Amino acid sequence: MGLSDLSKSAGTEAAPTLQRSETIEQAPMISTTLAPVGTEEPPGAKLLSIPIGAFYDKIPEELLTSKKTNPGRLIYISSEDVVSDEETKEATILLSILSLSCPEIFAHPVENADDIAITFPIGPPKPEPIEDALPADALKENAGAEAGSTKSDAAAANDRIRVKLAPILANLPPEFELFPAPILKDPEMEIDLPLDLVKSQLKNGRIAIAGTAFCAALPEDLRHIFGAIEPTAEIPIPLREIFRRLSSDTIKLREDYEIGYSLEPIRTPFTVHAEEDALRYGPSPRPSAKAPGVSGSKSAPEADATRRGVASAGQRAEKAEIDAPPITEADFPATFDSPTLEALFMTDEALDLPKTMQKVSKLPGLRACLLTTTTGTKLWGESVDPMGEPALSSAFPRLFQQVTSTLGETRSLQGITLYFDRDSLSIILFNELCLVVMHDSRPFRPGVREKILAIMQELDKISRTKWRSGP
Amino acid sequence: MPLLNYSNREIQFKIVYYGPALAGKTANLIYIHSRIGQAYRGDLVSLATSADRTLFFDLLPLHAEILQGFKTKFQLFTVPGQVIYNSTRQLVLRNADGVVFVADSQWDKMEENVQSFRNLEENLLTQGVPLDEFPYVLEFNKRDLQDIAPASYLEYLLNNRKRRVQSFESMAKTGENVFAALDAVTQLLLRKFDSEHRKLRPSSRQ
Repeated sequence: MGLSDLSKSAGTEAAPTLQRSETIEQAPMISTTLAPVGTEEPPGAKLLSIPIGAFYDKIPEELLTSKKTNPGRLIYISSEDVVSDEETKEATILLSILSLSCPEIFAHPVENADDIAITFPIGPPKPEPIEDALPADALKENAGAEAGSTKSDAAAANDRIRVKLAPILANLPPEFELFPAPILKDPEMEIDLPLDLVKSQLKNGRIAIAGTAFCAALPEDLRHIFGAIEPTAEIPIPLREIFRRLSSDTIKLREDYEIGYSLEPIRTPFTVHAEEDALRYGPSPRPSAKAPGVSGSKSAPEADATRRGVASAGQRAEKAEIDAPPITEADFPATFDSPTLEALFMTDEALDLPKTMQKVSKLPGLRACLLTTTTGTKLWGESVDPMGEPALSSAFPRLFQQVTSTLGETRSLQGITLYFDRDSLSIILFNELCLVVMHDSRPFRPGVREKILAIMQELDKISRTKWRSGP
Repeated sequence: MPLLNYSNREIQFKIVYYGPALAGKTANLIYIHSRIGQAYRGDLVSLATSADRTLFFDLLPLHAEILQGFKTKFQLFTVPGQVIYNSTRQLVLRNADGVVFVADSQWDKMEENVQSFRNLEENLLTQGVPLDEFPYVLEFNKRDLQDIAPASYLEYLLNNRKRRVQSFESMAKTGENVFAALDAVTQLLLRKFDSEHRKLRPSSRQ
């Protein structure tokens, strides 16, 4: 959008100041640095960074939100949307563009009828606003830093944080064209920065200090290189450097929080998938916070249980041989009452063994399946080659157990995939059950193996219900 | 508020994947799409630029029956993360029932995470919905990369509020914790729906 066809100009807008000045944290900057910054825009497109304070007072009061605004916060606007006048040192932008760039200061989106051009000064920065771009805490700190002679060295050391200079220089934005390029005699050279200034900005996800404060922290021999940097310029400090030296107490979470969710999990159509993924990736969906009850999936214990069931399948198989009679087809009830299986197949249909196996064979990437016991007794299913089926039924469980015992330590072996001429098949063992699946073109698609393991676990549970509960 | 159609016996929940540009919102949907059986999902509609950046939104419809007698549809949307597309984000966010906020774990994306999260709060507020009353979970994505911030810092940036929500360290490309986050936000939605519509009970089997 260009500005050439504007019918209204904001140059004549009455700028309400008295009431609005109470709603912002600091006085808005009266000058603006228009400098290209690196953004996600395609190469060639230029963005201009403008502090909100530069135009805040020009926006009609009724469009502004009553919330506090940080006038030092930079917004980024395409240079094509800005008309700047070098003579008057003013820039003009459409209000609708501003509302898109910093919607948080607007009470509501700007309608076409409200759209006007906003003109504001972009002259060279005055000496005073140097500190305006910094948070209030930072101002205090900077003042303290300048009056450093009144503090003892020990106290000052506690108030400061040492960071390596090399990463800061390496991360300087492209607009800082330094001449001559600084060469560090010692790549490990560190500088002291005011700790409060860093702390006060941690919540923003970005740390930057004013050019003057940065120059003051530099060793004498480097200061002249940065002398050309505008005092208002923001020097970004890489967060990772800050965190190398920052105490973990600094980012303590508030203690007066309420848990925003129930601790009793309910099952959703996605719970099964979450459990399958947990099985696939680790003991539980990895919660990010360490504090108990703070975060993490509530289905974690279930997922954990599922994983344990699979991991100790070999051990359980040994025990099952002693405790339980061999499994037969008769051990499966005519109709399963298994919400788990229904959830796994996302169906409300009452399932039985044939239906379950048919659904298994229709899982993505599979074309046939065969369920047997570990002794080779066929329970249900069909292989693609009926002639070779008896051989498969007896050979594969033994092969699987042989591999498991040969590998010894690999107790978590869940399946073996064998490749033939153009075919491949996988054998999955769970306690006394053995499932052989034929693949259509390639090994398991994402999540299918985990789903089969969950199905096997459930089938194993169903088959044992009869002898567990007695005749 | 989910769309409830008594004549069709259909409930529709809208879940929006929100977050800064390139955080992995579309990757979340792609993974979910790859895992849900064809019978239970629609096509993944994606309006992206040639550089694979989401231009308008992605949409993935999912179907299930979780409330007795009601066909339940979940519509998963993503928003374009780029700052300039706020109008589109506002549009996609309209009538959303829940949000999965996908944050980028890389150090140099922290500011964008914060801005995007603030933008979410502002956009919800323009609809008259305070964030603290809205169902959402956090997903700290790209945990497989090297140059990432500790999860505790992401918690500090995004979850240091009076109401603390669930958060997940994820890898959307491989799918780790993608469903865990979706499951968590769905639980929030179902609970909220249940409390608002006491007449409709979740399936007795649950």
